[in-house]
This record gives sequence, structure tokens and C-alpha cells, in this order.
Amino acid sequence: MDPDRALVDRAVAGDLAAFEALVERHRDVVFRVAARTVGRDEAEDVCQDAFLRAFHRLPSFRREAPFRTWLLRITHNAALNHLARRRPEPVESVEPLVEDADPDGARTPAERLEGRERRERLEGKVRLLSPAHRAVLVLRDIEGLTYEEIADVTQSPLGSVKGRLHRARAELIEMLRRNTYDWELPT
Amino acid sequence: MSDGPNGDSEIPAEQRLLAYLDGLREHPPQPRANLVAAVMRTARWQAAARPYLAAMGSLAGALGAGVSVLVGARGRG
Repeated sequence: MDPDRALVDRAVAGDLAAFEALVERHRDVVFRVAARTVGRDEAEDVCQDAFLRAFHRLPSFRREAPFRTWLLRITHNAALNHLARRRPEPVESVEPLVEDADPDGARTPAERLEGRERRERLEGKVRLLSPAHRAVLVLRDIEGLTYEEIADVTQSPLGSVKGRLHRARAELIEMLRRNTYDWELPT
Repeated sequence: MSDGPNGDSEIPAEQRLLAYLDGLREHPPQPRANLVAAVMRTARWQAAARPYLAAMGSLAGALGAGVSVLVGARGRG
């Protein structure tokens, strides 16, 4: 049973508060997928685009898949369209480095900064993957979707999803081995 | 071939890669607090404008049909 079903039914009937509740419920995952596909700076545009497309297409949502999967499919397509329209993206994030929160106080400020810098370099490498490879890697290895959900989101056969994931991981491993000095990846 | 995160059929390099990717999962990018408000502001005005846009579309369609009928009648006359 889709946990969003009641809200979707109300939103289709024109209840904007119900649609707002759906946006509230899914904004984080939509933003994460958008940010990891197009970069943080442009993720909000993709997010807004995806939610508004969903708003207008709700009457045609056939409930064959859960609302979340349908919404991620729209997000995926919006992100790919965004990438297709723009020039090649910068390799690394331009966000200023700030220290991570460290509630336990177990790490020094230098260690926190180093951890953040390392993650940003990894995010930069993920964004160097082709959009098709990046999508499956983000959806599976970071967001934890099932293969079936990814096949639905990307509208690809299950075998293609598994093949792309395997190639995406191999490509990323190769990139990290080749271009950086401190990733320990056994052969 | 791998079966998925933390599955047992991944090669050692993949297992290490997944551990690195866990770091990204644990520190997710966060949207600005006003994202929902921005989406809803646009959704509200688009919802309000929808009937007018539909009416304008119908009107334009009717005008187009009328013009084509007139042009057709003149052409035959």
C-alpha cells in the first residue's frame, strides 16, 4: 500500500494542502537526487521543476508504482533535461569548505575539515560519471533504492540497471585510483 | 557482478567504494528551508491561472476554426 495514497487522492481532487504535504514529505529525497545529479547549486531549480511537473501531471498518475517512485522518475528526467541544456559542469563543488558538525567532539577541527574535503572530492568524481551511470549509482549506492525501483525511475530494463551499476562502480574505482592519492582501493 | 550495497558478492574494491559512498549518504545535501514555500507559491498561482489559460486556449482554438471556415468559404466563393 502506497503511504502517500490518501494525500495523492486529495491532491488530485484539488486540495493544495495535500500537495504541500507531499512536497514536504519528499523534498529531501528529491533534493538529494537532484543535487547529486546536477550539483548543489542548481538542485533547487531542478527540485522546483520536478515538483511542479508532478503537480500538473498528478491527474495522470496511474498508481502502478508508489508515488515516491513516480516522483523520482520525474526528478530524474528533470535533472537529465537540465544537464542536456547546460554547458559542461564544473568538476568540483564551489561551496566554501566549512567544518562538519561533530556532536561527540571526537574529531579535531582539522579532521572534520579533511573529512568534508574528501567527501566533496568524491562527489566531484561521481559527477564525472555519465548521467546514466551516475543515476544508477546515486539511486542504488547512496539512496538505497531496489533494482526494481531504479528500473522504474530510469525506465530501463532490470538487466540494464545492473549492468550500468557494475560499470559505474568500475569507472568510479578507476577514476579514484587514477586521479587521487589517498583512496585505498584494493585491486 | 555486484548485488548491491554491502552485499556479499562485491569485489573488495567495490566494498571499499561503498564504504566511501556511505560517507556521502551520512552527510546528505539539504535544501533551503523555503523550498516548499517556493514550490507552493508557484503551484498556487498556476492552479489559479489554469482555468483562464484553458479558456484562452479554447477561445484561440475557436477563433482559429472561425478564420479557417471564413477563408475556406471565400476560397470556394
